[in-house]
Amino acid sequence: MGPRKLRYVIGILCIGPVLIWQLQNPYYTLAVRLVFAGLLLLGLTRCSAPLLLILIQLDLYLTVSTLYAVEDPPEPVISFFCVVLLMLLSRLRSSQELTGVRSIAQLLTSKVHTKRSSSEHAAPMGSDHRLQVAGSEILGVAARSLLLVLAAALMLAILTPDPSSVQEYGLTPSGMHTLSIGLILCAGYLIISLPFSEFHWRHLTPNQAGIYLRSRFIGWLHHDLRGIERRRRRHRRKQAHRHRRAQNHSYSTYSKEAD
Amino acid sequence: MFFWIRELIGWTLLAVSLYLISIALGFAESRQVIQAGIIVVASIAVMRMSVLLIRMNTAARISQQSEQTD
Repeated sequence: MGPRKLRYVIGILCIGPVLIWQLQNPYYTLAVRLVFAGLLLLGLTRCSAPLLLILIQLDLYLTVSTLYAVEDPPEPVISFFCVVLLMLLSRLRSSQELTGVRSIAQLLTSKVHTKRSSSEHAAPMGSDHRLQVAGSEILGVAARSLLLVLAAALMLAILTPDPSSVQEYGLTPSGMHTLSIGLILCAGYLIISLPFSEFHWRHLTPNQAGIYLRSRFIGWLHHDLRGIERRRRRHRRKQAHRHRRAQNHSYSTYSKEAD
Repeated sequence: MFFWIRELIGWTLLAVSLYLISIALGFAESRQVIQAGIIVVASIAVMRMSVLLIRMNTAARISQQSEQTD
């Protein structure tokens, strides 16, 4: 079983119980269940963690009043690990799509290799260098995300809804709770992500620094040129997308004919 | 010299924005969410500008160093 299939299987194993619970929830109408079933099918084909996280948020939004009535709290530890796993799978998938690297081990070895070569001379913006940036980024982003999820879990455990918020602000306790957690997480994210991003920024090559400076100066001094270039890039991206779709289509028809 | 002055100004602005965030957290802890939201927006603006200043300064320094070595 390849890593891609393994990821899909783990994703399905993680989301399966949650989604089955959603579909069997007696509080939902048929329309809501159909929406969840559609999202489930989308999730299975695309295996997108953000979609599933939105699904869980929807579930929390719809069942938040019933959760307080239940005496036994839901299993926070299992939910926490499910969310962490989904997040890491999603990050791994997107980074692999960007770099074309098959596994984490390959990513790390290629990083070491390019680090050695870049110490000898400043490498241009080639594929090897892009691999090095992606390798260091994936570790930084994983650490950041893990810290944020830990902070979110702590906030959820500490902050409890305040019943007096309805009288004071016209907000429901759950709305108040969400706003408070959102603000604290936003602040936490900024404070945590700043050292990481600044640390990475110090490792710019002169070529990259020049590109950044030129793009900034063009943005400030020649705004029209920037707009033209952006339109060109969008056009090129669309053309590449069309080309890729045509290639996939021809490949699928060829494989069908071969079968 | 100018690089270090700009870097210092950038980090000072960053410290100011973190101070603003701590004020916002104080508001959020006392459940004054609206006030906290306003302060967070202001602090994010200050932080973005400070980070931009630091990054521009770092990029300019690296570019100039490479030109001098060439």
